[in-house]
Amino acid sequence: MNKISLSFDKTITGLAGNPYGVEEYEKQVKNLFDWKGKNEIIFPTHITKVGISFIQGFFNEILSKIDKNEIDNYVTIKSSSKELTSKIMENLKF
Amino acid sequence: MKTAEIMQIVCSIVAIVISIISLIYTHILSKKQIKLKMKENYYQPVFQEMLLHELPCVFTRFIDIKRKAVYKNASSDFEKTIGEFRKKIRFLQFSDLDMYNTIDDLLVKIDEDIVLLCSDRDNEEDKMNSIYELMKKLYNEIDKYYK
Repeated sequence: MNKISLSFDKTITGLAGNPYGVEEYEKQVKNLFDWKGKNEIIFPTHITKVGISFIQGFFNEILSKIDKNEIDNYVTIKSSSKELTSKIMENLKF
Repeated sequence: MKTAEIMQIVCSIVAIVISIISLIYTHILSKKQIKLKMKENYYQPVFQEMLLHELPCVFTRFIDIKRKAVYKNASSDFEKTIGEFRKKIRFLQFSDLDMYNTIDDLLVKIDEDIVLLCSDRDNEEDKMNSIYELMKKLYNEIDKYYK
Protein backbone atom coordinates (compact mmCIF):
# COMPACT_ATOMS: atom_id res chain seq x y z
CA MET A 1 0.00 0.00 0.00
CA ASN A 2 1.16 3.50 -0.89
CA LYS A 3 1.49 5.47 2.35
CA ILE A 4 1.30 9.26 2.28
CA SER A 5 2.15 10.91 5.59
CA LEU A 6 0.93 14.46 5.79
CA SER A 7 2.74 17.07 7.79
CA PHE A 8 1.50 20.32 9.23
CA ASP A 9 2.88 22.88 11.62
CA LYS A 10 2.96 21.23 15.07
CA THR A 11 0.96 24.10 16.58
CA ILE A 12 -1.99 23.45 14.27
CA THR A 13 -4.68 21.15 15.65
CA GLY A 14 -7.46 21.75 13.14
CA LEU A 15 -7.68 22.01 9.35
CA ALA A 16 -10.36 24.14 7.72
CA GLY A 17 -11.10 25.90 4.46
CA ASN A 18 -11.59 24.61 0.93
CA PRO A 19 -8.68 26.59 -0.67
CA TYR A 20 -6.33 25.40 2.10
CA GLY A 21 -7.40 21.81 1.40
CA VAL A 22 -6.66 22.23 -2.33
CA GLU A 23 -3.29 23.81 -1.51
CA GLU A 24 -2.22 21.00 0.84
CA TYR A 25 -3.35 18.32 -1.65
CA GLU A 26 -1.23 19.96 -4.37
CA LYS A 27 1.76 20.20 -2.04
CA GLN A 28 1.63 16.89 -0.23
CA VAL A 29 -0.43 14.36 -2.18
CA LYS A 30 -0.75 15.07 -5.90
CA ASN A 31 2.66 13.74 -6.95
CA LEU A 32 2.63 10.78 -4.58
CA PHE A 33 -0.85 9.42 -5.21
CA ASP A 34 -1.07 5.97 -6.78
CA TRP A 35 -4.04 6.12 -9.18
CA LYS A 36 -4.00 2.36 -9.76
CA GLY A 37 -3.63 1.09 -6.20
CA LYS A 38 -4.53 1.72 -2.59
CA ASN A 39 -3.31 4.81 -0.76
CA GLU A 40 -3.18 5.31 2.97
CA ILE A 41 -3.34 9.00 3.81
CA ILE A 42 -1.99 9.58 7.28
CA PHE A 43 -2.97 12.72 9.18
CA PRO A 44 -0.53 13.57 11.98
CA THR A 45 -1.74 12.89 15.53
CA HIS A 46 -1.72 16.57 16.50
CA ILE A 47 -4.52 17.16 13.97
CA THR A 48 -7.66 16.51 15.98
CA LYS A 49 -10.25 18.29 13.83
CA VAL A 50 -10.78 18.55 10.08
CA GLY A 51 -13.54 20.67 8.58
CA ILE A 52 -15.85 19.48 5.81
CA SER A 53 -14.65 22.42 3.71
CA PHE A 54 -11.02 21.22 3.99
CA ILE A 55 -12.04 17.65 3.08
CA GLN A 56 -13.94 18.91 0.02
CA GLY A 57 -10.95 20.92 -1.20
CA PHE A 58 -8.34 18.30 -0.30
CA PHE A 59 -10.10 15.42 -2.08
CA ASN A 60 -11.57 17.43 -4.95
CA GLU A 61 -9.16 16.19 -7.61
CA ILE A 62 -9.19 12.60 -6.35
CA LEU A 63 -13.00 12.56 -6.49
CA SER A 64 -12.99 13.98 -9.99
CA LYS A 65 -10.94 10.98 -11.16
CA ILE A 66 -12.23 8.19 -8.93
CA ASP A 67 -15.87 7.11 -8.49
CA LYS A 68 -16.82 8.05 -4.91
CA ASN A 69 -18.59 4.69 -4.53
CA GLU A 70 -15.28 2.94 -5.17
CA ILE A 71 -13.16 5.25 -3.05
CA ASP A 72 -12.58 2.48 -0.44
CA ASN A 73 -10.53 0.64 -3.06
CA TYR A 74 -8.18 3.59 -3.46
CA VAL A 75 -8.11 5.55 -0.22
CA THR A 76 -7.89 4.70 3.45
CA ILE A 77 -7.44 7.29 6.17
CA LYS A 78 -5.40 7.11 9.34
CA SER A 79 -5.90 9.90 11.86
CA SER A 80 -5.75 10.79 15.55
CA SER A 81 -9.15 9.24 16.27
CA LYS A 82 -11.75 6.82 14.93
CA GLU A 83 -14.25 9.67 14.96
CA LEU A 84 -12.09 11.90 12.75
CA THR A 85 -11.32 9.06 10.32
CA SER A 86 -15.02 8.34 10.01
CA LYS A 87 -15.85 12.04 9.44
CA ILE A 88 -13.29 12.22 6.62
CA MET A 89 -14.47 8.98 4.99
CA GLU A 90 -18.15 9.93 5.31
CA ASN A 91 -17.54 13.25 3.60
CA LEU A 92 -15.49 11.58 0.90
CA LYS A 93 -18.52 9.47 0.03
CA PHE A 94 -21.10 12.25 0.56
CA MET B 1 -78.77 53.40 -26.69
CA LYS B 2 -79.74 55.06 -23.45
CA THR B 3 -77.19 56.02 -20.83
CA ALA B 4 -78.79 53.61 -18.37
CA GLU B 5 -78.32 50.72 -20.81
CA ILE B 6 -74.68 51.64 -21.43
CA MET B 7 -74.10 51.78 -17.69
CA GLN B 8 -75.69 48.34 -17.31
CA ILE B 9 -73.36 46.87 -19.97
CA VAL B 10 -70.28 48.50 -18.39
CA CYS B 11 -71.28 47.16 -14.96
CA SER B 12 -71.72 43.67 -16.40
CA ILE B 13 -68.29 43.79 -18.06
CA VAL B 14 -66.69 45.02 -14.82
CA ALA B 15 -68.44 42.22 -12.90
CA ILE B 16 -67.18 39.60 -15.39
CA VAL B 17 -63.60 40.93 -15.18
CA ILE B 18 -63.72 40.90 -11.36
CA SER B 19 -65.04 37.32 -11.40
CA ILE B 20 -62.22 36.18 -13.72
CA ILE B 21 -59.56 37.90 -11.60
CA SER B 22 -60.95 36.38 -8.41
CA LEU B 23 -61.06 32.94 -10.07
CA ILE B 24 -57.40 33.22 -11.12
CA TYR B 25 -56.43 34.52 -7.66
CA THR B 26 -58.25 31.63 -5.94
CA HIS B 27 -56.55 29.15 -8.25
CA ILE B 28 -53.07 30.58 -7.53
CA LEU B 29 -53.80 30.70 -3.80
CA SER B 30 -55.04 27.10 -3.66
CA LYS B 31 -52.01 25.93 -5.66
CA LYS B 32 -49.75 27.72 -3.16
CA GLN B 33 -51.66 26.17 -0.26
CA ILE B 34 -51.32 22.68 -1.70
CA LYS B 35 -47.57 23.24 -2.13
CA LEU B 36 -47.30 24.54 1.44
CA LYS B 37 -49.35 21.63 2.78
CA MET B 38 -47.06 19.23 0.95
CA LYS B 39 -44.04 20.91 2.49
CA GLU B 40 -45.64 20.66 5.92
CA ASN B 41 -46.65 17.03 5.58
CA TYR B 42 -43.56 15.60 3.98
CA TYR B 43 -40.67 17.91 4.72
CA GLN B 44 -41.53 19.46 8.08
CA PRO B 45 -40.79 16.33 10.13
CA VAL B 46 -37.22 16.47 8.79
CA PHE B 47 -36.72 20.08 9.84
CA GLN B 48 -38.84 20.06 12.99
CA GLU B 49 -36.79 17.69 15.14
CA MET B 50 -33.53 19.17 13.92
CA LEU B 51 -34.47 22.85 14.31
CA LEU B 52 -36.50 22.67 17.48
CA HIS B 53 -34.47 20.16 19.44
CA GLU B 54 -31.23 18.75 18.07
CA LEU B 55 -29.47 21.88 16.76
CA PRO B 56 -30.37 24.17 19.71
CA CYS B 57 -29.29 21.40 22.08
CA VAL B 58 -25.84 20.80 20.55
CA PHE B 59 -25.31 24.53 19.98
CA THR B 60 -26.03 25.52 23.59
CA ARG B 61 -23.87 22.70 24.93
CA PHE B 62 -21.00 24.04 22.81
CA ILE B 63 -21.53 27.80 23.08
CA ASP B 64 -23.10 29.83 25.86
CA ILE B 65 -23.86 33.01 23.99
CA LYS B 66 -24.92 34.96 27.12
CA ARG B 67 -21.73 34.17 29.04
CA LYS B 68 -19.60 34.27 25.90
CA ALA B 69 -18.22 30.87 26.84
CA VAL B 70 -17.23 27.92 24.69
CA TYR B 71 -17.18 24.28 25.83
CA LYS B 72 -14.85 22.60 23.36
CA ASN B 73 -15.54 19.08 24.65
CA ALA B 74 -19.03 19.39 23.21
CA SER B 75 -17.80 20.28 19.71
CA SER B 76 -17.87 16.72 18.33
CA ASP B 77 -21.61 16.34 18.97
CA PHE B 78 -22.23 19.63 17.17
CA GLU B 79 -20.10 18.47 14.20
CA LYS B 80 -21.93 15.12 14.10
CA THR B 81 -25.33 16.83 14.13
CA ILE B 82 -24.26 19.12 11.28
CA GLY B 83 -23.22 16.00 9.34
CA GLU B 84 -26.56 14.32 10.06
CA PHE B 85 -28.48 17.41 8.99
CA ARG B 86 -26.56 17.52 5.69
CA LYS B 87 -27.71 13.97 5.02
CA LYS B 88 -31.32 14.71 5.97
CA ILE B 89 -31.72 17.68 3.64
CA ARG B 90 -30.58 15.77 0.56
CA PHE B 91 -34.24 15.46 -0.52
CA LEU B 92 -34.18 19.21 -1.26
CA GLN B 93 -31.99 18.51 -4.30
CA PHE B 94 -35.14 17.27 -6.04
CA SER B 95 -37.59 19.93 -4.87
CA ASP B 96 -35.48 23.09 -4.56
CA LEU B 97 -31.84 22.87 -5.62
CA ASP B 98 -31.04 26.52 -4.83
CA MET B 99 -32.42 26.09 -1.33
CA TYR B 100 -30.43 22.86 -0.91
CA ASN B 101 -27.19 24.58 -1.95
CA THR B 102 -27.84 27.55 0.35
CA ILE B 103 -28.51 25.38 3.41
CA ASP B 104 -25.69 22.95 2.66
CA ASP B 105 -23.20 25.82 2.23
CA LEU B 106 -24.30 27.28 5.57
CA LEU B 107 -23.85 23.93 7.31
CA VAL B 108 -20.37 23.49 5.83
CA LYS B 109 -19.50 27.03 6.96
CA ILE B 110 -20.74 26.32 10.50
CA ASP B 111 -18.65 23.12 10.60
CA GLU B 112 -15.62 25.13 9.41
CA ASP B 113 -16.11 27.71 12.16
CA ILE B 114 -16.44 24.98 14.80
CA VAL B 115 -13.04 23.61 13.71
CA LEU B 116 -11.50 27.10 13.75
CA LEU B 117 -12.94 27.92 17.17
CA CYS B 118 -11.60 24.68 18.62
CA SER B 119 -8.17 24.98 17.03
CA ASP B 120 -7.21 28.49 17.88
CA ARG B 121 -7.59 30.56 21.04
CA ASP B 122 -7.36 33.88 19.21
CA ASN B 123 -10.55 35.91 18.71
CA GLU B 124 -12.75 33.29 20.36
CA GLU B 125 -15.59 35.75 20.88
CA ASP B 126 -15.63 36.73 17.20
CA LYS B 127 -15.69 33.08 16.16
CA MET B 128 -18.50 32.33 18.63
CA ASN B 129 -20.50 35.23 17.23
CA SER B 130 -19.81 34.08 13.69
CA ILE B 131 -21.27 30.62 14.45
CA TYR B 132 -24.26 32.26 16.18
CA GLU B 133 -24.89 34.51 13.16
CA LEU B 134 -24.62 31.55 10.76
CA MET B 135 -27.12 29.61 12.87
CA LYS B 136 -29.55 32.54 12.74
CA LYS B 137 -29.10 32.72 8.96
CA LEU B 138 -29.77 28.98 8.71
CA TYR B 139 -33.07 29.35 10.58
CA ASN B 140 -34.05 32.37 8.47
CA GLU B 141 -33.36 30.52 5.22
CA ILE B 142 -35.48 27.55 6.30
CA ASP B 143 -38.24 29.96 7.40
CA LYS B 144 -38.22 31.42 3.89
CA TYR B 145 -38.80 27.94 2.49
CA TYR B 146 -42.19 27.80 4.23
CA LYS B 147 -43.38 31.18 2.98
